[in-house]
Amino acid sequence: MIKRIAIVIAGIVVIVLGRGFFFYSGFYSAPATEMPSYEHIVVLPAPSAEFSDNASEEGDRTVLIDLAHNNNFDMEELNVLMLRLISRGLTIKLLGVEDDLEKELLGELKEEEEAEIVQEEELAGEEEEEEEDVQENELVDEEEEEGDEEEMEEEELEEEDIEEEPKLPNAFIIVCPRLEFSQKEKEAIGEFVDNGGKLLLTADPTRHSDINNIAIEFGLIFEPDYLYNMKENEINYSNIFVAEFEENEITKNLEKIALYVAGSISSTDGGIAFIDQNTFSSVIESRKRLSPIALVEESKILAVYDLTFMSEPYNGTLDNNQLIANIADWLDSPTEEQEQEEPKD
Amino acid sequence: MSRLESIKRLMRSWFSSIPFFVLIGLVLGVLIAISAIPRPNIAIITISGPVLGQSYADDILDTLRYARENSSIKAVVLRLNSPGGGASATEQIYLDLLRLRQEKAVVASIGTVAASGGYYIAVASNYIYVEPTSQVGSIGAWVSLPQPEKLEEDVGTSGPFKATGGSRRKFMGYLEMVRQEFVEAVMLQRGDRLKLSKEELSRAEMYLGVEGLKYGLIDDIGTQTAAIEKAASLAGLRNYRVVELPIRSRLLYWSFGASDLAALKSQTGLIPEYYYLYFESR
Repeated sequence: MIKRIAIVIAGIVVIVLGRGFFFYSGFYSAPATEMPSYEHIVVLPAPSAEFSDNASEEGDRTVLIDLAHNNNFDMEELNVLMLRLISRGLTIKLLGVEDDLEKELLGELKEEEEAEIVQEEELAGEEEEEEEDVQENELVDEEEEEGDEEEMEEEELEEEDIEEEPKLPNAFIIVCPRLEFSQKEKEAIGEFVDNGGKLLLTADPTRHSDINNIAIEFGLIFEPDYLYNMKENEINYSNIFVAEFEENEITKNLEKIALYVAGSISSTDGGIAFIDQNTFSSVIESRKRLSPIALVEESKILAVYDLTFMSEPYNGTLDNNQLIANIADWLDSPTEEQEQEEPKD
Repeated sequence: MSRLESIKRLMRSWFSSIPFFVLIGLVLGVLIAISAIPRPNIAIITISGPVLGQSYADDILDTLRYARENSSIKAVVLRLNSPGGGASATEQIYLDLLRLRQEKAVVASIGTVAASGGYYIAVASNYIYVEPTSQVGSIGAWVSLPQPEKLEEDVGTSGPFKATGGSRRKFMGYLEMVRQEFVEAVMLQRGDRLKLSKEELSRAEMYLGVEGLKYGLIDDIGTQTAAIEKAASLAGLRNYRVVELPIRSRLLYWSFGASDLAALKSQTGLIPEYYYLYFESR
């Protein structure tokens, strides 16, 4: 009986094995599957650093901010810089669409406007003469009294005019202009700089602007790129650190700054803050020593290719506040030409 | 009587003979073998188009669960043609595929593109095939940031970030964490096969199939047929049947452009949502 059962079992085994061998050549051996762990994934924002701010409130300089060229920014974004300027006693003026850049920067009127004013004055003079002829005989006695009064009024008005005569700006800030500057405006800005005025040009790679329309006049090119660092960055690859500086008034006391989507500025020896070997341009591959900040024209023109670092809360990262304070100091300090013009006490 | 007895004797001798027991053994063997060793199947699961909605993700997860629980399915070929999708949906599929891979062979076969979340899904498989001009990569994420919260007279909120969940900077920090998760997943699953560093992966570049092979992002160049044969080999199958497991809401055709991105952004509203999705930004 045992023999017969063994035969049955053998038959079963043969069939089962046969089917098994028909379909299978082996078994699936699962690889050691390591399930992901998420504990070590952390993001540490860069710390903020102490900074020294030479706020004095003693200055009498004026800064003009361009709002006449459909500028692609909100005034609140300049709050930090403006506060620094105000704390230094600087007066901030805004250049609106209705304002004349040439007049606001240089205090000069256009030739056409000057001709119009002369014409108006001549007409007014003729009218006055006619009126005087008609009334000459009737108001002889009163004339003398009125004449005295008019003279006094004119004197008062002249005094007021002298007091209210607007002070010309010492510095001009242009941020992300979307409208082109006319040839006359470019010439006026050029003359303003030649006379010792300071010019701050700022743009941001994330915003459309036609900054090169004016920047190129001074040998500066805001490249159509952004800078990135995959190895060491402030939360995101496009938020780069800059720690290599040329020594000057803009970079004093700076060890490391963070820029939030900055582009590179091309100039002839104008770069003052250079990217490290792990930072790259999204466009430029041939050059390595790129700078998002440039200072040219005997330190009278500063170009900065990032706007975000100037605004809250990004100004608090690393030495950004120090850089903003340095820019405010630079705008507050007179150039050689301005020192020669200003009478010393 | 003698005839009946002779038949009885014949039957007795037949039922007690060895050939009878051999026959019994064979019949029982067939019955047992059919139920115990069913014909093995290789299932093809196709994921195409952007995996954006949770409903599409749920359908994919249901199909993966069916493949895992069905004993006749011995291996899965994942046919991928996707630019990725929502981060959450992608991660759900990735984690379920890892579970499936612990029990059954999973081979990915990439068609036109497996970018971003599409590639994230692919790395969960044992082996990845691409066609020479397939595109893979775009390892990274993006988020539509919330507008800074402004208080309204008509709407009251109990906290400063009730409507947005946090500042833009905070969500940028989370975006960095999401990127790290993706890169870690690729490093973990590709292991020594990968020839790119974390920094290089994080550039979120797209690679052609042949280039992907060079950098270890994929394992071999081949079509779906090669993937099926590889799946059979990994599962130890000699003879098998190929079955397709359809996903209910699978999109038949997709194209994802700037207008779709704008629509996607408008859908997100105030609440930021993370995407492992490759798109043309212009």
